[in-house]
Amino acid sequence: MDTDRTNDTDGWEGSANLSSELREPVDRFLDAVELAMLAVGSGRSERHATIAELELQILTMIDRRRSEGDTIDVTLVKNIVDGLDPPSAYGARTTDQPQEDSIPVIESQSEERSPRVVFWKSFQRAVQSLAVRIDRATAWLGLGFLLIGLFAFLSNSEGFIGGALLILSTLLGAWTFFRIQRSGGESFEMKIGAISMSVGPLLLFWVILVESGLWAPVAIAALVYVHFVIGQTLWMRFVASVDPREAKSGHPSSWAPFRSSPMTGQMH
Amino acid sequence: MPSVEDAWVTQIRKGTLELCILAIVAKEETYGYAIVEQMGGLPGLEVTESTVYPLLVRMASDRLLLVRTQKSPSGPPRRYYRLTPTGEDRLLHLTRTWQAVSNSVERLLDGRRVQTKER
Repeated sequence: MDTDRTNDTDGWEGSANLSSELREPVDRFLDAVELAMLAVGSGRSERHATIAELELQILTMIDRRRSEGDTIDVTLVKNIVDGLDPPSAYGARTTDQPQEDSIPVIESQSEERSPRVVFWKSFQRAVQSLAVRIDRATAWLGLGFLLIGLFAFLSNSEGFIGGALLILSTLLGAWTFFRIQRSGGESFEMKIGAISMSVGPLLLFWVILVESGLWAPVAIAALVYVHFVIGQTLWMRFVASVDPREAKSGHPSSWAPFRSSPMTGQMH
Repeated sequence: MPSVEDAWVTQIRKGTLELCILAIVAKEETYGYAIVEQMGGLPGLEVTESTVYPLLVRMASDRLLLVRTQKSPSGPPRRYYRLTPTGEDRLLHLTRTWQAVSNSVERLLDGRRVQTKER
């Protein structure tokens, strides 16, 4: 039943060499499946292995259609993908599926990696895992500063400490919110960050407007903007450097945030 | 919302799925899509890829199956599955249990038919 092909004479060189146009619906579907599995807490190995099986099935089906004489175009590929179980079907945990990366694999003939690559991947994963924890901790810290800053500001006539804490809360909130939001995470910490980011400047603006003049809030707004631009640029570069399938569970890179929705498969 | 009958059928299929996969892999080393095709063609089972692939992964994780990856001209490496000694033990145990349950249920059903005829 194996219909895999390695050579061809009419320009079609096997499904492994699908053009980007033909790959697009396949990748979009696989991303949606991965997101659906991620949404129910499937481990990285489980997602990776399931996606690999599914991708092979799709490519094998394409090869079969080709061997039957069909013209391989986007419509045919979409029809094949549409005939499969929807991504949401992978979001229902039916058994006590594994959470750990403990799948035994022997005689791997395809994933030879140099020590340098292995070290770099390990380093990236360690940093990814740490970054997510830092984001979450930062969100709570921002909320804490917001509350303490408000209390300090209202209880201190000069309001310097309270103002500083509110600024800090705003910066931490913005940092956390945008990092988590841009990574597609619908997490509680993102909402905390949003509160710090939005309530902090409002309070500060109101208090400073009452206490001093109008230039201070403008300077603060500029500071927040610059912080956001620099932080976002660095973060997006880091996320883009990591293969979603290599990313740790829960890391933004593994969520493929800008490609599709887990339930609809639609592009954002 | 599924009916009680649908839910029962789903539970039956779910409960026997592992046994079926073990039985298929016990015959010969095989890969995921081949298992999906084989099971999809069996009346009453009719499971699809979204059920089979995650279960295969879990069974491999539970050391019931061994996975061998091999390059495939169709794309990513193909994963071939075969039984481990633990998987063979599991298959034996599930087979015995299934036969015992099946025989008992069959006897009960036969008895019910007799009773129905007598009325």
